[in-house]
Amino acid sequence: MNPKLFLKFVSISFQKQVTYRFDCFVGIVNGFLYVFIFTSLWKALYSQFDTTVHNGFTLTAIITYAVLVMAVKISFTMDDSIIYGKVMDGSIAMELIRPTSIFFMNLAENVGHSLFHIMARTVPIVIISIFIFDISIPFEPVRLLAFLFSFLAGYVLISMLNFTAGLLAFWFVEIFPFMLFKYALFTFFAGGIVPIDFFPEFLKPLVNILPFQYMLYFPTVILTGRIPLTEVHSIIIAQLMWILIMGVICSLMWSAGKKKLVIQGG
Amino acid sequence: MEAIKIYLTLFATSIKARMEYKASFLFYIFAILSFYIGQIGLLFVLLNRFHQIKGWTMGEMVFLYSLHAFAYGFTNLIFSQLINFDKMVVDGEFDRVLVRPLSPLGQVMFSKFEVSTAAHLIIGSTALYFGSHLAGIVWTLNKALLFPVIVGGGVLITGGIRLMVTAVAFWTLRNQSLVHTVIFSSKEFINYPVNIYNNGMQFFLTFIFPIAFINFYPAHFFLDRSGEGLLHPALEMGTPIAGIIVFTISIFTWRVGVNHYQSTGS
Amino acid sequence: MQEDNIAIEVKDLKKEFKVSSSGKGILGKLQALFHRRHKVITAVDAINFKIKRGEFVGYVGENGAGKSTTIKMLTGILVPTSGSAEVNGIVPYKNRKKNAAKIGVVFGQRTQLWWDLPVCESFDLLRVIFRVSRFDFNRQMEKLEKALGLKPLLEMPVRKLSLGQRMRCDLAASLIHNPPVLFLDEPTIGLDVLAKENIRNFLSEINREEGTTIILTTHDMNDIEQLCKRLIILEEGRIMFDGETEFLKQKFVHEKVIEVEFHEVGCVIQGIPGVTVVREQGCKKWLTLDNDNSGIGEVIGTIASQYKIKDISVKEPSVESIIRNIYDNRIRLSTP
Ligand SMILES: Nc1ncnc2c1ncn2[C@@H]1O[C@H](COP(=O)(O)OP(=O)(O)OP(=O)(O)O)[C@@H](O)[C@H]1O
Ligand SMILES: [Mg+2]
Repeated sequence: MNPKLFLKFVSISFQKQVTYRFDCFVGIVNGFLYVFIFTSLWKALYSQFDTTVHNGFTLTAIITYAVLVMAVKISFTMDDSIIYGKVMDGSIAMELIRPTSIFFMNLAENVGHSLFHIMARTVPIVIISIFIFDISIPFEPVRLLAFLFSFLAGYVLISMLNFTAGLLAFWFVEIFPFMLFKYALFTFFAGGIVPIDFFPEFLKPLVNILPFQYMLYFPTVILTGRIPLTEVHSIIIAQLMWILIMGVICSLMWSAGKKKLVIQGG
Repeated sequence: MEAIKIYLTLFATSIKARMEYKASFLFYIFAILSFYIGQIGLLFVLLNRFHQIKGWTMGEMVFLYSLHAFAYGFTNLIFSQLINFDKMVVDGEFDRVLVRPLSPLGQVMFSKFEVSTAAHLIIGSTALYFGSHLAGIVWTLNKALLFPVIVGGGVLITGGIRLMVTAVAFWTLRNQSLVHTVIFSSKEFINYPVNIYNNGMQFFLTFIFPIAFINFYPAHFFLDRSGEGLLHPALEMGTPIAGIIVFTISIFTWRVGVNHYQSTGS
Repeated sequence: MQEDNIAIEVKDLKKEFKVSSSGKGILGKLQALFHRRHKVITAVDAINFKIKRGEFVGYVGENGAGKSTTIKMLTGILVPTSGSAEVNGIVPYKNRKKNAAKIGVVFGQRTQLWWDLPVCESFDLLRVIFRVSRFDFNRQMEKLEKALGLKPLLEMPVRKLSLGQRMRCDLAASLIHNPPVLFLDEPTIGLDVLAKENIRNFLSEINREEGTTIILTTHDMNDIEQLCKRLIILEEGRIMFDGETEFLKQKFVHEKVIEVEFHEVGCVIQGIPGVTVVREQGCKKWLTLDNDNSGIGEVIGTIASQYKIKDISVKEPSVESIIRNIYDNRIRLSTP
């Protein structure tokens, strides 16, 4: 896809977000609410023990994690009903005659959406949190760079997950249950609330064969410094592998959907 | 009396409309269940590691959860249409509600049937069973009689809050971000005992946004717990009163809002 | 105070809307987040009128004149900014339920029916909502079915109806409780000639036989000419004419319209005193002349001496042309 066109779509989608001042403000409150709840929870849990380190996290480390994982999650905000909507109202047929890849167009829309949320929500929430909570982020340029990579990879992964889920609309009338199910798996396995380190041993194999931890948990722990720099590359490689796998699934589903569209007229 | 008959007819119609999509019904319930199982699963992960949260054990936490699930489930049954109400305002669909000789609120409430109630009741009952068992609740006649009263009060609180947020749409047109924050995100607060938060927040959740009355305060009565946090013994029974106050204010807000309705230009 | 034969009374009725504009482009939009402009639009500007029981009133005006806004205030949808209105002796925006029971409303742009339900089920639901006894309902339905040809439509879900079919069903729906006052906001919008004719016949019938008071908003002047004895013309929220349709015609009947068809395009007509070109289309031109100046024969003679004429005819102005002239401000009316 032509980068200029890509940017054009990003910009359109960004502008769609900037509509209501009130929404922006509420969005910040919403994000901060989660940060507040989970930091309170961790403080309460840690205050019950004399030991200061649990599963490798000091209180400062776990609070830092709670703030940053929420920041990453908010930055990943995207509208997962776009593809679904296009299939339902039939406008997906337009994609067949466009010379652009539907996946990249969707990605562009998501990026516009997310850029807005990063600007209007992530940044203010992180700034407020730095003042209120005891947070420590190691400032190593290489680490920041690695985080950026891992963050982008996580972003593409989530985008692909939403894309495939949306394509299910070709085969099912109502996909809201799928979306909810996806959200349930994501909430549990991505580490958005409780970091993977706290999971009991018997769940670890399950966590490891699912892609969710590569979406939130790993980008976040790379930034907080929990992962030594020497191991970062293996994580990014695993993320790229998942992108490859998901990419194959995406294109298989898209071509099956296209076939269905051509044969049955949607 | 006749009005009730009319509402029941309306309600029957919306159930009929919902049943058009019977196939997805079970899957929908399954998806909701999976979401809550994930949420309880995370609680389990935390308690497995930390044994209790500020003095609340697994069984007590599960009981807390059950009160919440019941209140939320019944609220969904009655007030579900309010979630997407802003669409009715933006599209001017509310016009036709106003030209019928029935209460506008009644018409809106009964215009949609929400199947998720079933899922919440399943979760609520299961949690109630295991919660009482694990926490060793001694069910006296008193407790058994008060349980529905407390759930009813909780419904008035959540329903009233929903109604207030809904009425905001008369002024701001779109209120999805507010709905998201106040109705969905704020639920997260009372997934945990309210005494994990600082005093300011406890005050807020008791006297300003009184969702602590949905489960935290009445749970003390059922669990025979003694005071903690902001708890004054009188608050244990405060749920119905809080419910009536919130609901009265919300009805008033709604009334003012209806007179502020702007319809659309076409 | 309240006269018995008054169906609608409107006093100094006014409605203002506050609208805010959002900026253009990324920068404009971001700027609007911090600073936004508000503008007040006066949609209806202190209007007064009384409508007697059994009247059939046309309510016309250009797009955005404030017609729908007035109807919405009279049906209880909007609360006026100031002034007052009474319908059947009830203040609609204060007493919505009571008012709703005594009026029928059709908004041409939007259906009152349940989108997914078959038409007959919608009717039955409305029967329950409006508390009509089954006996009265059956009698009324029989009449409506016949007059509007609903029989073949009853089993169809509303979303599958064509525009004209839907409009007939909507009309029927608004009359299930046989209301004394009927508000129609563009009920003939987008209909073909035959469908319009059917609806007009039906409306004139219920006005005549049931004595239903009808307020009709429309952009089709044939509707007005055929149905409405009385006409209210609105411009930018103000009433600029309120009187008999016939009176309007009489008043302007002396102003003749000449329709000339030339052999070629581009003929210029000028220099004839008192003559204005009101419309042109291809080789045709429509001229008006006021009778103080030249006579018709003189004008035709002058034109014929300049160009070759294919066809020529003299017409009395239609309501449509009068109103178009009013809209165009070519005719100044003093409000009676
Ligand atoms: N809900 C609203 N919010 C803001 N402005 C409105 C609203 N409704 C109407 N207006 C404005 O009020 C004015 C009158 O609108 P109204 O719909 O009454 O016109 P109308 O005479 O019915 O026009 P039309 O012939 O196009 O239906 C217009 O300028 C319109 O933009
Ligand atoms: Mg209009």
